[in-house]
Amino acid sequence: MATVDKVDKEEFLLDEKTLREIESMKGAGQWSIVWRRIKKDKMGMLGLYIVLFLIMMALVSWILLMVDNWLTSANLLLGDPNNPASLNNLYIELWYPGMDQSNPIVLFQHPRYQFADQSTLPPSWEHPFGTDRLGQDMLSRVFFGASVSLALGFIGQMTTVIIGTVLGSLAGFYGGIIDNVLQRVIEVLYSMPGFILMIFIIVLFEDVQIPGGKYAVVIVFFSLIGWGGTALIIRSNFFSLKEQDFVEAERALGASDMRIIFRHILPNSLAPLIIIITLGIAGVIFTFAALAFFGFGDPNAISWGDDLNKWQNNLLDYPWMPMFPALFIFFTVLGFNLLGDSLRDALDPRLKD
Amino acid sequence: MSRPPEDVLLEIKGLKTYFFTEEGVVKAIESIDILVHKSETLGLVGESGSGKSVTALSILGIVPDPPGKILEGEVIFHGQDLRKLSDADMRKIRGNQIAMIFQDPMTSLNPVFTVGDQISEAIILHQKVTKKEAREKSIKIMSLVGIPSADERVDNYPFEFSGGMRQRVMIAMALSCNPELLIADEPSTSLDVTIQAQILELLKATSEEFDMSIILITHDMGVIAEMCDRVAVMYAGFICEVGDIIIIFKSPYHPYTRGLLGAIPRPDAAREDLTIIRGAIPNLINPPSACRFHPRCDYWMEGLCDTILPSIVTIEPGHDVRCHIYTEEGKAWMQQHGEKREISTMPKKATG
Amino acid sequence: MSLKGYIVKRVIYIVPVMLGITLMNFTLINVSPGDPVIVRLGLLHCETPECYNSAYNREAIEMGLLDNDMYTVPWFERYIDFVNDLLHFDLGRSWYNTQAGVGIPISQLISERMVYTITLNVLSFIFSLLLATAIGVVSATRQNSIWDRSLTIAMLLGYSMPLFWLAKLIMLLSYSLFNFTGVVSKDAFKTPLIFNPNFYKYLILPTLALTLGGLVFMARLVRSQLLEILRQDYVTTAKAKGLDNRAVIYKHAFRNGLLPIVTIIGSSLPGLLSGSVMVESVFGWPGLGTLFLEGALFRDYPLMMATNTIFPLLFLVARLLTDITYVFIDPRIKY
Repeated sequence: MATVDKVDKEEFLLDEKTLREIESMKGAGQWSIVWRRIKKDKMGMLGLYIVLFLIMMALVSWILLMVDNWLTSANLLLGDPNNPASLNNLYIELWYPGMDQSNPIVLFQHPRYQFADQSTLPPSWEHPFGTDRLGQDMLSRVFFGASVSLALGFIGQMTTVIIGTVLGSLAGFYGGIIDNVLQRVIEVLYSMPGFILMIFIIVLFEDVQIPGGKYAVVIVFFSLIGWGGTALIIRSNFFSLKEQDFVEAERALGASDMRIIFRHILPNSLAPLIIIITLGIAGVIFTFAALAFFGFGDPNAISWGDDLNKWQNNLLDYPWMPMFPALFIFFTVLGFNLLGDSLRDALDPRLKD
Repeated sequence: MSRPPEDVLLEIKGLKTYFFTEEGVVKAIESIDILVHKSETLGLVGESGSGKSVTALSILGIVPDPPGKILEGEVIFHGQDLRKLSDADMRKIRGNQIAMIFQDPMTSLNPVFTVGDQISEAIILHQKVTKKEAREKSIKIMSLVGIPSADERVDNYPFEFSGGMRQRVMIAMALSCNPELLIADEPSTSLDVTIQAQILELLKATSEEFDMSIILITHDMGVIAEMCDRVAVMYAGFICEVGDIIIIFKSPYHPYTRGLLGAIPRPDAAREDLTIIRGAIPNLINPPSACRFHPRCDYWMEGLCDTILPSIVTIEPGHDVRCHIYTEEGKAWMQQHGEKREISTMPKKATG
Repeated sequence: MSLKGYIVKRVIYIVPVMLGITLMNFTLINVSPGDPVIVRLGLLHCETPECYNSAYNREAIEMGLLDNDMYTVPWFERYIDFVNDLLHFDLGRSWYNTQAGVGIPISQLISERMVYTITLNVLSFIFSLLLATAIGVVSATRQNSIWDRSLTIAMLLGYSMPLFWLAKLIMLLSYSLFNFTGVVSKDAFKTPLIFNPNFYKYLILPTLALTLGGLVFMARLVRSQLLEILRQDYVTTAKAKGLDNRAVIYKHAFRNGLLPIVTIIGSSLPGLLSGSVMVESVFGWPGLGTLFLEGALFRDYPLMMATNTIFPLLFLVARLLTDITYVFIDPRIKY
């Protein structure tokens, strides 16, 4: 009897515990609840880890390249920076006790460093991802390609979202003629397959020289034509929010338009914005990779898409050359999609399937 | 007031339905025993979340699976256990001998088919008639349930009807095959008060006309008093008390029934006389042990109610209670502790 | 309004959108740096400066940049000219695709190539719709079963796979299995196409790639829509009537699930068209996509202009069809 008693008490306590958890969630902000939900979702966490790993990789490779460029320009490195076979560039090497000190394993070579007589080598200990036709180490190419590929995705998506949010807010808040014009423009932009329009623009504007190279031009135009989706979502969000009681109350108290927009409506549009950004980055990375793949990227840039373009026809004979950049594009898109799906479910449980 | 066994239309014995969700197992129905006699209206009353609708779905065998699953119990209809029937045989009973109407007529009708289509669908399925005959029958039954100019409205879509009219369509659909048992799941809850009365009136009239039994699910004691012959009170997956309507209203034996009756506002009673049941309906993933009502019960016998599930005690034929106040264990506890637990037969101020 | 009136209204609605699109394309060409005439001359061969100058003037007049008296033509006149030509189905001559030194009329090129694009797209659209329906139904009705889980993961992986790379992988797989890369060769297009077995042989891989591309997108959609619908009250009503699962899913659930699916597919058609460009290009399938990409790579302005007018037109027509479909499946629609 005593044992039964004990078990039942524990069960009862467990219930108390659940209640307390619910209580604590009431006090906690929306974001900690969202975080709890994501933590529960295995696929979402996998996506988060992939994304964090890629961001780390992009940051580290970017810093390394910056340091290398700075050292080279300060003439601190010996050798000829214009000679890709010159040994002056920075690299990360692995050495452990007992190993020949003069010949450690080179983990990441400078992405432009060309190993003489070592072209088209299949993956090996020395070159885990193999080497390409120019004798460049594919692992280094992939590692250093992360910064450009990810930066393109982030910058491209952020600029479109900013433009879309501003225009969508204006149209949603003021309605009327602004809204009408905006909708007609989106109508036109949305009738063009974006990928095709991008190619058209890149071809027309390939001679434009602005700081940041070819991809800067691409990003400018990308954000000029890509904001429609965000604008539509923010606009409809504004339309529904501005009718709500708390906004009416604020207006009755004499709040200015700006205050209503920035203090009340925009914070409430944050959830859809986060979902748009995360899922959108996957799409933007994919679009830029596709553009590069079909030869509308920047052949001089170190990015996954451009490497893929260079070696796509070697898939049948030297499959590792295009395979690794493609694999990384795939993982990036997968990571952002997983994270985005999970965020969407966590932020808007109604949409959960 | 008990009736001969050949009068029994439906008998549910020890029904148990759980939902296996990601958050945990929701023990929606733990043990349900119900008798429904021929041409009788049985009220099934309880707070929302007590498992009334799940009981209804379990009778028809349409608990959404996954996540729901009927684990135990028998549903004996006309002497055969429905749970042992094949899928195909069960489908012949659904909508034909046992029909159901749902709480929200706004969402219970398929928006993309005409109401005529939806009514004749059941007729064609269960009776050997042509499409044309089914349509004529639909029109007939629609005018029977009080839909004006039914011959025109038969081709309308649900969105062209008002809420009350839609519920009439639902009733027409349920009546279309002359069922012996109608399960009405909160048929009037989502409607305006005046429409509510009309719909209940219609149900009453048709049950007499078609000589059919009704299980009326509701949380509204007023509706129960109006409509039912007998009433079963449900709490968190158990039936607490079953009995004749007059007995239950006059002298409820279960503390929960008493609480429910006390929670009805009465214009003639002072405001503070309104008794409420403290607490909320428990989380059914981790329900309170044994008698699930004990944490909210004023008569909680510590060490008994939370360890041993009270068995069903028959007060008089047709009036069953599941509470330790009336069990042998309960009496022993009271003696042992020298405390007395006794329900005053009338809920406070209930007589007005 | 009658259905006819509605359709007429929708057709008329295409006109301003197309005007907007042509205006955008035209403006882009005009504000872009670089002289299109010089681009054009890059494709011609000239030895002497005189030849070059006369060629420059000739081309500039032909393009309508200069009038016969060597005055610059204002942009709006050129735009009106352009639209006027367009209305007469005169899309100019290609710079890159030539026959005996003269550019092939683009309208002729497009009408030749359109067949291939439409065959490929319609086929793979139908296949992916059917397969997506099957997968979506299996997943949604057996939610969280091993089938559902593996299909969901497969769809997610496919969804994250760049379509052009998927096409390449299919090529690799086919090559290692059947020693057949699927890259189109000339004998695939001997007329009549219907009786040409090679045409079908070369059609397989692009269709497969494009089907998979559309499939992963649509299957996710069908699954989540059906799950949503299967939770609706009217599905329970249908079950309570005694309908079997098949009738519940295919009659009651599916028609309702179709509504949002049609809308989303309708609005995502440009994406599907982009996919078609990628797949065509990988396999060398000589449709509009390849035509456009060739034009872009060789700076064939008139051809790009023309394809950039045709693609949105294709999209608008396809969306018109989805709008009309919508009227038939949703009685609540007001037109």
